[in-house]
Amino acid sequence: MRRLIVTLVLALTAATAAAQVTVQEYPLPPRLGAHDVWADPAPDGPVWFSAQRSGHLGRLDPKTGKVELIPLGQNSAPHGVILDADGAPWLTDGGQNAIVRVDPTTKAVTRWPLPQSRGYVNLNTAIFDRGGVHWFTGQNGIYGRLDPKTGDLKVFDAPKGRGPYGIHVTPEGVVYYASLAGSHIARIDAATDKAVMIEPPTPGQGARRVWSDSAGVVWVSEWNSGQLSRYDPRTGQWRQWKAPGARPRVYAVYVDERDKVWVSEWADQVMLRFDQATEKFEAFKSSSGTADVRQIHGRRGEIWTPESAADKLVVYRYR
Amino acid sequence: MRLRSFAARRTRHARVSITWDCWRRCGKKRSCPGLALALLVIVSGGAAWAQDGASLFQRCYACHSLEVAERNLSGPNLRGLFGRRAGALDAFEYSLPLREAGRRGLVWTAETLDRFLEDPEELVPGVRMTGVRLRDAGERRELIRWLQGATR
Repeated sequence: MRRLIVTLVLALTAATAAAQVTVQEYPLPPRLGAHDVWADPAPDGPVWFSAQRSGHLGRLDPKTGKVELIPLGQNSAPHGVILDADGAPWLTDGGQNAIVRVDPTTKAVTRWPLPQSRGYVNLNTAIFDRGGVHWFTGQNGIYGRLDPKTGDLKVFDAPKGRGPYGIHVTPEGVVYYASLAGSHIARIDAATDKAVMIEPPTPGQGARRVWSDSAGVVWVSEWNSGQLSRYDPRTGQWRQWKAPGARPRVYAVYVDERDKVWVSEWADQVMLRFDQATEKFEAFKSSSGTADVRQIHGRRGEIWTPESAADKLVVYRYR
Repeated sequence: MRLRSFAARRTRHARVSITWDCWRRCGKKRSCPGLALALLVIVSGGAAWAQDGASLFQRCYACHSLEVAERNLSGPNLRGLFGRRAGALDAFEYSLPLREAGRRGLVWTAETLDRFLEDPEELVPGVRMTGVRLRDAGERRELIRWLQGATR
């Protein structure tokens, strides 16, 4: 009897939490391969996405559902998209082996090709630091920086070679990236530009993406181990939580404005929200059988996901 | 001059013919300078030829290995690729669409790999490998030819 009551209470709690989250789906034209997404911080502002398969930058107007596609050039296959402080989208375009900026008004495309001496680097993801420097990763074993003011572009060898994937910056301005093949995260030393490797406790965990919370704690999505992990730079301590399910695969991570941690889990194809206080996951799902969410971004009260396998952008709204 | 035009050619057949032609006309089997130069061209030309495939493999390198022991990447190991059924490595956790494609008879050959590299999702809808599309048929041929040697 007591077990039944506890079960009912847990179910009601979960149902209440779930009821506070609404899901809205925006269909995209087919065969775009929406990979990453970045929501303009303004409420109801545009949501930008990289169309990796078709070689476009996409712009969704959430008020109307209208989608605009901006061609990026021959052989384009953009992986990541981010916005700069002025609201201009920047893409890490693996197909063109170049950093690409699109003027949000004129839609003019500007490219910064990587040095030919580096060959193909498999550009992945980027982030701006507090000084406006554009930091990027390349999965073939590099990270780099581009100063948009001067056009100065530098490429560095990553420790342990191939793997650099997701990248983010803490509120203090410290840049971290994750190395998927290298199974570590790295902090970029601002004074020397050197990447300092930090290894999570789980060997071979496959750290894919990183995101900082408001306190500068770094959250890591571990693909191989199926864990969400947490690194506190102040203490050097790690903690890990296995995602629900028999063999979870955790792909993307994002921390919202309330410091709730969102991850996309691929075995059950669900979005998970992790509460730091209770250390519990809640699961949310769109109507897609297979969504394959490869990145997450948000703005106040909204979590945006590109469903690369379902040709949709999906927003999870919460109060 | 003639040797320079030879250097521009990249087929093995052309190189063998050139060498033999030079040897026959010069008649100096042990110390023929023309032959020495031709051999140099063969070696350097061969290296350039091999480099083209290797350079194109950089598109695959982040997720796939050719080293037998390296099996912890996010894509399956490519050693022994040709003739292998799609989604067939026990040690790798493939996506459902790729395993299904293998069950339905997809085997990796030069032809199927050419179609896959042109647009992976066209051949196997729902496949997780989405970032690589080699739209240039010549590049695909070069990469596949190189892989046929490198994956043995």
